[in-house]
Amino acid sequence: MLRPRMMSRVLIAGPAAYLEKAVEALHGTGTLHITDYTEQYAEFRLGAPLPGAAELSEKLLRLRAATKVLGIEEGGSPGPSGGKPEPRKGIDALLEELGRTVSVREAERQELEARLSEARRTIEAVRPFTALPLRFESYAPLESVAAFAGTVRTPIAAEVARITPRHELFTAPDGSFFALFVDRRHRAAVEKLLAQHSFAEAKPPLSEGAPSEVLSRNQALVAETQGKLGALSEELRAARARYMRDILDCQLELGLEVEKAEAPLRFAATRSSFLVEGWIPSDELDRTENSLLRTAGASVYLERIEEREWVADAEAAKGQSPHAGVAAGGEHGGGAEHPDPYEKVPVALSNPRPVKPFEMLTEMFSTPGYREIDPTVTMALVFPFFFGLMIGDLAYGLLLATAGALFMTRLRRFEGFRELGWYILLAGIVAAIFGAFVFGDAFGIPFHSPHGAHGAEAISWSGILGFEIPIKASVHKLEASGLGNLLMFSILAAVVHLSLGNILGIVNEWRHNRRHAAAKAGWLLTVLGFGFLILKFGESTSLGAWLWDNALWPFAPSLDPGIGILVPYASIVFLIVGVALVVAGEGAIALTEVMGVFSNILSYTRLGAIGVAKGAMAFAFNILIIPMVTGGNIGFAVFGCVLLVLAHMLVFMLGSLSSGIQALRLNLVEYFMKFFKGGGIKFIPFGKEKYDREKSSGA
Amino acid sequence: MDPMSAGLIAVGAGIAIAGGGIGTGLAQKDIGAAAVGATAENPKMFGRSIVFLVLPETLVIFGFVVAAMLWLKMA
Repeated sequence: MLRPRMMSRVLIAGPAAYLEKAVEALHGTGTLHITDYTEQYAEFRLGAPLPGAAELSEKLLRLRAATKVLGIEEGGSPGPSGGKPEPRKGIDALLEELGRTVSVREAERQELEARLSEARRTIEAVRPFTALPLRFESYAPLESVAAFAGTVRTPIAAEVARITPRHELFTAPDGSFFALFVDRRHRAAVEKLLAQHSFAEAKPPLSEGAPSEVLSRNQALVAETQGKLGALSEELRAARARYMRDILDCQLELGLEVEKAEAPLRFAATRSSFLVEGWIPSDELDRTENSLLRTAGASVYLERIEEREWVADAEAAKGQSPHAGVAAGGEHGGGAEHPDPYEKVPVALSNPRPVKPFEMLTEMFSTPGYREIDPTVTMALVFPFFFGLMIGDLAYGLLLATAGALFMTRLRRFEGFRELGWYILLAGIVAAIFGAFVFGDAFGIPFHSPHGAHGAEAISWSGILGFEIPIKASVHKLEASGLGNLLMFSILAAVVHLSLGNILGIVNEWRHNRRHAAAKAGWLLTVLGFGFLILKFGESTSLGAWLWDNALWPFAPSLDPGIGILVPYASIVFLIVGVALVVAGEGAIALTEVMGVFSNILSYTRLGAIGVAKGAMAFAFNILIIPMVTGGNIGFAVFGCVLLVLAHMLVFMLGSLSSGIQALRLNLVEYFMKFFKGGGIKFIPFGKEKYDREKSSGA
Repeated sequence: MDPMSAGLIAVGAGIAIAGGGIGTGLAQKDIGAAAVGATAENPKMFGRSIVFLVLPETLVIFGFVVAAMLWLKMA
């Protein structure tokens, strides 16, 4: 759980004749993370792809083109006109059929669309000319006559007449569009005149006949082409429904074939043998070896390299590289101070099923290193808790849980939605529990009206439902005492969470460097020192009083420096010892980060702050809108109800979004920074897709 | 508490949270622009850029803490 799966380094070698069988076996088990060969051995060159790789890639390309034409997406549904799926075809048959139908239809469609846009352009061009009683032949260029057609801003008739009487002017009934024919000798003068009147020229289309005829001819063409296009896209839709399943299956199958065929490119090879290096989870070693033996026989040999051997190898390689740097650059490279022989080991996180989806959040920061603690399980506990606490409302919690369930079932085909659904389902449940038993409210309306409240502020569920709800809220978000308790709780959560982070830090560093581990212990003490100080400050709240009387009583004795704050002696001791350890472990520069711990702790007050802000927003909407609903005017009541739904949707969306992001941030920033380095290589087994498919269908 | 002091405390609380909010806003405008750019280039950066984007919200949280402490004093 807290550690990734144990890995074994393996070397697989065999004669070239058995290459294909070995690839088949390894792909089938889906357990080997191949280390790409980088031509580091003089005797071996890069392997060549299996025969047929090029042909397979080409087929895959053709198939992808078809998916694009048909608008098929991975995981999409075949659409409403799904019909009965036909029996599964072979890849070649399918490609041949697609070529016959889909490609031809697509070419037809493109041609029709070109024709359609051409006709539409013509219609646009012809339309103004229909207002004039002239056929298009009239506009043909003549030796002695210049023709102009278009629009002007202001009338031109009088001025044209002044230039030359030898002209003919046709104007559309609405006066904007005109055609003008003048003696070619006056052409320049007329052009100048038109320019002064903001002339916009309209080019007559290269057609013959009356404009209205041309117009109706093209309109008919548009209608006809649209009809054909409609029929065609109907056909394509039908083809999509018919071929979708086949195409997706074939695509997956071809993808796997291509992966197999190209795998030898990552191997080392000589003329007569091949060699693969990689990593296999230790518990899968036997299964992989058996599968190799069964498929490829005893000629292919799998050897497990002992951990101490590859650790020594890696250290030797590290030791060499700085010298290489000196030789090449002449500069003394810093190099890695502590060579980590495990940095090349791929990391396969191993978590129980309920925790597995949270790996996505951990990976968002980084993949843990092979020898590092995998914090996913702590994240899986803390993230929904913080998320739910910030929402802290029965109704919003139930809504959130419903949304989560919906994401996990209906929308699971979208990438990441299954995981997201799980997070918000858990968070929703936590929020509902907090809302019901701690804060006692739903939709920002309390179960019981607060003391001394009157008017709209006194609205409560007990009042609305007409009976006394038997659960009493222990924390009222919008009262001073409630806010104080919420802030105290946030600080307490900070101390616990950050302490856990530092404890994990101690464990991580212990193997590498004891001095760094001591520094982590120093940071842990600093967290406790500042934490107790702040918690003491909040002793006047009921949670604070309880805490100092019960859980924290051994640390309660305090110094009173006379400035209105009590300083627990424990805080002083923790801070002095902590800072001393930090300086001893990480040097004096670490002093600059000591105050950072203080602000890290205060940063957790966002847990209370966002809860209160969201509660206040819902409360404000309620006291504004509810009187409108209950005012007695039926019109206002209906309008108020609509407004109320919209307002609560807004609060719900904003609240969930910010609560989720802030809960994530507290984990990724404040918590992970205390111990998590990451930078591990993700374990990607050869044949992964198949592996995934088998896994999800088996689950 | 006399109304004058209460009023001044309330104004102080307002200034505390407003200052924090302005600071956060100034910081977020640059981070936000960069985050949108990064996400446009590589949609996988979305999650990480959201986290970067909320980093400076700590400032307004500090403002909130001060405001809350003042308010608790007043109430």
